Amino acid sequence: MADVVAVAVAAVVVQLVFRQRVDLPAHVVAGGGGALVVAVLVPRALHRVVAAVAVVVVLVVAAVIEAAEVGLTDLGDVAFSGAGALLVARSAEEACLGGRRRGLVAAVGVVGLVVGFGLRHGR
Amino acid sequence: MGADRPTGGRRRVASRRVASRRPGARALLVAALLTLGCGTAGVLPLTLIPVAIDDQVRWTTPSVDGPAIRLLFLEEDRGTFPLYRDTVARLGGPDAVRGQPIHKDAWSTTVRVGDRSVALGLPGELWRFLAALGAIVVVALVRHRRRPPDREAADDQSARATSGRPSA
Repeated sequence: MADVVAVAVAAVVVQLVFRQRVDLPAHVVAGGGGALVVAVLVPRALHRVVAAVAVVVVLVVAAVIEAAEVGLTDLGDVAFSGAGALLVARSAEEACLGGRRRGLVAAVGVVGLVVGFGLRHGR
Repeated sequence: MGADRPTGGRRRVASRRVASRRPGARALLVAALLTLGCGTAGVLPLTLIPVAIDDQVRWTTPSVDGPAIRLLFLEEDRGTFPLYRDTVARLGGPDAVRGQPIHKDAWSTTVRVGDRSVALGLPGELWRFLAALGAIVVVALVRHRRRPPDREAADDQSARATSGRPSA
């Protein structure tokens, strides 16, 4: 929960700093959501490095999506997805270990992805 | 009370133990550096400094990413160069560069536009971008580092239980 708040606060701060860039907070939110989804899918044996794995996966997927949608990969935007993924590192590790909250974390991650993509394409 | 405090040597051993228990922290640090590198690699071309050009400017247009960025179109169809508005201003502005030959070596901080030689720099927008990105990354690393030790122990227990192996 604290990580979700951290992502939301970071997205608001980024929006306040870059008032014309709706896409940057969208990248932060989608990056956080994507990392949680990746963490749930990663095997438990990798729980110690799952946060780093999630960040790398988010960076690569964000770059591919940017290239497919915009035609060129803006690594600056992609980096904000990675930053969002870094913010949920603790939750990613807990989600990878499993437990009753695993499904909840996956659901929160999907919501983050939907909100992020909605912000990105809703402008 | 003072006798209970760890000495410098004990403290170093204790910190080494903590570090060995947290390989994830090192991996996360590498991921954080990768994120920062990604951001830097993304915004540096907007200053034109890493780019090599030997062409003629067709025109510049505002970017959909806001007024801080303009798109530079060249005569030979090599795609578009997103540039900071400050960089376009240094070149003389959108009207002054239109139709002008432009020459620049990669990683040179000067660009030749028409018969003028212009010095390039790092605009404030670039520093603002890197500061915002860096602040999020640092906050994320600090929050991860402050993870309570009891939860870490619980993680170890849970991992042992799932793998069925005793800890070293």
